[in-house]
Amino acid sequence: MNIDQFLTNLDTFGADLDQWSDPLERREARAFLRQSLEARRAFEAAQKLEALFMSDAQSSHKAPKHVLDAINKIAQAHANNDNKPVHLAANRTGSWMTKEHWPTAIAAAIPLIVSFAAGVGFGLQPSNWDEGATEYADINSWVYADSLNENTIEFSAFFPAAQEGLDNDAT
Amino acid sequence: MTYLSDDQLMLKVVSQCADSFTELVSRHVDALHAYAYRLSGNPSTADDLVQETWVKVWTHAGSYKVGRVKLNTWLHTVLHNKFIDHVRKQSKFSRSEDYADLVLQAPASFEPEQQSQQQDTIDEFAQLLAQVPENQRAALLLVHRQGFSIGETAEILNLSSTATQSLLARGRRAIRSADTKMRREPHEH
Repeated sequence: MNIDQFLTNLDTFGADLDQWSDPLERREARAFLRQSLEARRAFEAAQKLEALFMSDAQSSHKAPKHVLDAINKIAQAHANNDNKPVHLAANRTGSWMTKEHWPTAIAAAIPLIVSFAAGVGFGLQPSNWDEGATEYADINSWVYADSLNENTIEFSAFFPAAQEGLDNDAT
Repeated sequence: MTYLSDDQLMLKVVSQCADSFTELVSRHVDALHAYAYRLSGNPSTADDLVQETWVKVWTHAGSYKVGRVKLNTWLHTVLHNKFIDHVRKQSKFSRSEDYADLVLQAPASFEPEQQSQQQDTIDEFAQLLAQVPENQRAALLLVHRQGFSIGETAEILNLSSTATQSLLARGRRAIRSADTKMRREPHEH
């Protein structure tokens, strides 16, 4: 082992030789430390630095009181709201259902209701309609049907002139 | 009162249990604040980072998956991500001389009677950390101060274990070089 190898392992694994992964390198490092002043200085410096970290970790560090107070207010604020979930979706739904929004909702719905009623009314058959009322209803169904060919035959059944047109086309 | 584990308390925090949240805070806030302080070098920044971390714990408790990592690891991950956001917003913190200027005073959380005894040690440690880039500083603190394993540190830093070991090696080399330099030029620090 040379000094470069020793320093590389020292940086990679730290000053605790038992943490070095290769048992052979651990033995070589211990032997190298006995013979190299530079290796001993570097090793002692690394040990001292790691001890600084550990010493800092063992110090009685406390988070400031104002930080604790601010953090505890997070949960307390929620607790004061009677454990209602603080979700934007819930709030949005709640506001939509409040009384002040109902007049707007009703005003928006009136045109829909009126147009629906008008559409139903046009489809209704007057009570004094004669036997042609059935034909009229069928024409309506023809108008809204999907298949034009199929309903052309039905149409021609009501309007003989249309049937003539079809016969002419066939020729 | 029955002792509840961190995971058991977190399950209650998901259900918005304030008492469980307060108990978790009491267990972990000091270690988190110490890490934040050594990482950022600024007491006010450390305060903000810790507060933002616990806000996220409360509002996103459901994102903690029991059994995947320890809660302590997850807390440090959240805080570290907050620190990254902070560094990106304030680019001046990447300059080591600013970090050194901010930590020459003893932290406010130390007991007054201890400040005079520990002042020199604090200054030396803070000045050494100031010479190391933030990512290497984080790796060193997580392993040597916070006591995390390489795997846990990799999880916190969102790196592979190999990358974390490499980062740690560079950090040890950097802080060892800084220490040597400080010993050769003591009057300049």
